[in-house]
Amino acid sequence: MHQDQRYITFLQQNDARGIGEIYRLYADKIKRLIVTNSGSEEDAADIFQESLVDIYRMSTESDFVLTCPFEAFLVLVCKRKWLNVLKKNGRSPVTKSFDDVSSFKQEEWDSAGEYARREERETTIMELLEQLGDKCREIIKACMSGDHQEKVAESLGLTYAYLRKKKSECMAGLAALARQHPLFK
Amino acid sequence: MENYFDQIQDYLDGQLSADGQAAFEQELRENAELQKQTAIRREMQDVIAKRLKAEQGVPALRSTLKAVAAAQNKPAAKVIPFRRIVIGLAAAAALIFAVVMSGVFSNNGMELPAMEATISRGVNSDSLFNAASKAYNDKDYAASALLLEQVVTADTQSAVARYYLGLSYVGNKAWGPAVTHLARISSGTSVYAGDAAYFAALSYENLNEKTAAREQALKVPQASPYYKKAQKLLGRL
Repeated sequence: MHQDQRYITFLQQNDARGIGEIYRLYADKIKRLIVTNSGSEEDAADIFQESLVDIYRMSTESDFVLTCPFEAFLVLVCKRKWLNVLKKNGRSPVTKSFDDVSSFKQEEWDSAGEYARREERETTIMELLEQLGDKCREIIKACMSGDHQEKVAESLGLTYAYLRKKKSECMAGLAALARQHPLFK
Repeated sequence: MENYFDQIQDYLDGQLSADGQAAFEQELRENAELQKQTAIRREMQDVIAKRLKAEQGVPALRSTLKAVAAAQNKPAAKVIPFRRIVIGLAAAAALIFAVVMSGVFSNNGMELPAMEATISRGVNSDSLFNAASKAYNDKDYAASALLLEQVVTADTQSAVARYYLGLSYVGNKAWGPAVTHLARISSGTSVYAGDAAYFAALSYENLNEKTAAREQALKVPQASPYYKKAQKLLGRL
């Protein structure tokens, strides 16, 4: 476990003081990176906040262990999010390196890259889920709530057999969307 | 011929018969594409379940991030004299603050006491403590936690600030930091000790630390307005 695990704990526990430390240590650095790569200070603030939220979402398993520097992980998540924004807006690609602002060893960047890729896969799965039709989305979310499936069927006004059939179809639809995505090919 | 790809969901949900499962697993060992698709479906299922659970904590986290960002963006020149005022105020907290219980408001089934700061002697009311009080009573617990963190950093002995800091974390469902502050108050001798013990017990219960929750609940004295609730909590444990 890396000593920076504590930053993950601050996010998991919504610890205002610890989150203040994260801002003090890293917010300016991320701002510099975004601003020198065609972004504004507001863009930087949004990217920084949303990246921390995504890291929180990814790390909510009780056994989540960070083995790389938090900063390297955060930089890579912010970089991916910012690249996506630029791509979406048809703006010029990033030309200045995000990675050379922090002096980490190559193996630390590699390890951070693994976490960032996992975070990207998870976020992509949730984005693909949002592309499904309303009914499928409702069924999948209800089925993943942790409640007994019979209870879920009742709450949706469906028979248990029909719920199982629809869940299977909807998950197959989601898998089909994933197969078309470069991350899952 | 069986279409095993149609059976992936039933396999992952453990809904296949014993024979069906054995046949599926046999095919799985030999069919690379089935392995790949089953792994993706399992990953999707795990990620969605995890992320949906995580979403419950996102609004409170966003609220804290917003409050922290706002605090970080304040010009330093405004912060310094502000902190000086607070150090003075917090050092003499027992004299200059009359923090009274003035009613309760609901917070998802939990009732947190309101925080009222009455400042005497003409002290500038634009203080961190009063700002925290306003944020707390407006249920902006992320902001009140952030402000009260500054107060307890300036004066580590301020029981009143630490008590409401703990309660701010309770309001924000940040159970870990809540017990850190509330357990410290409940083990002390301040007037907040008994009440803090109740909220510490409640926080430990949410962390599923039953022994610690029981220890705290037993500390709540009969004179505390939370005595009955503490007894009820003990009954749940």
